[in-house]
Amino acid sequence: MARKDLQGALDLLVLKTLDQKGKMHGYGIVLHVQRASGELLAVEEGSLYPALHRMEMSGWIESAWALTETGRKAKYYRLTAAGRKELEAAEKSFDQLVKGVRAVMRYA
Amino acid sequence: MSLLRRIVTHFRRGANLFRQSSVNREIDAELKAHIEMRIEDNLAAGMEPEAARRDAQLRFGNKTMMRERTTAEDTSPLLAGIGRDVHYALRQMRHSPGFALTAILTLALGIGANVVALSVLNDSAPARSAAFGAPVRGRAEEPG
Repeated sequence: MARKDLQGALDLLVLKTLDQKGKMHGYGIVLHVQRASGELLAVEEGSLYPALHRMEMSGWIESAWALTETGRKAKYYRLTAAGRKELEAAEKSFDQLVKGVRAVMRYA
Repeated sequence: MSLLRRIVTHFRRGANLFRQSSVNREIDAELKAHIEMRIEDNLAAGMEPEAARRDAQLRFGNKTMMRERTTAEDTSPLLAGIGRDVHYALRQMRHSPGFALTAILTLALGIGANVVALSVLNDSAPARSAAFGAPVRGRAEEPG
């Protein structure tokens, strides 16, 4: 279960990033999560691409090759309608997880 | 996830089997772009070129394993294995058609002969069991 929750957290971070920033490549997602979390979170680059490809296969995100600002070709991802629904569900279940863990920590 | 969506996912994975090499090429290009962008940023941050390159590679951890996991998301490893086996079998058959033909003929004759023999036996089976009359009588007596 813990493993699934951690994977769920990565999915949530990726989906939320794409929701906020529109289209983005993998490297951009890594940078964004690091910056937006105040350097508290680092997306493990080895787990990111399997997750991105899994989510693309599930139809939550879609990809297209495009040029970066520096003129390099990169694969950009963006959220689909199904992905937006998935994001809502993921946000809800993450809130529940945090609330639950908090409640246990405070229990006296 | 809805059932329909799941089916679509499996269909996508299956379809990717027919373009496995282009799927692999695309993943390689994607990872290469990532590493190169990291190197550029490392250089811009003032790292030595060698250190910048090594850092970018290290962040991926075991790159081969990660690449395989990514490929596995795009295709179905089980189906890919079956596909490779079928390819291999067809290649071997083309390579030695005489052997393939002999094997196919042997199997065909063997199966054919079995079918004929067993169906003849089966046809005569009712007649044979009738000859035994009431088989219940053949039951062993219980001791005591």
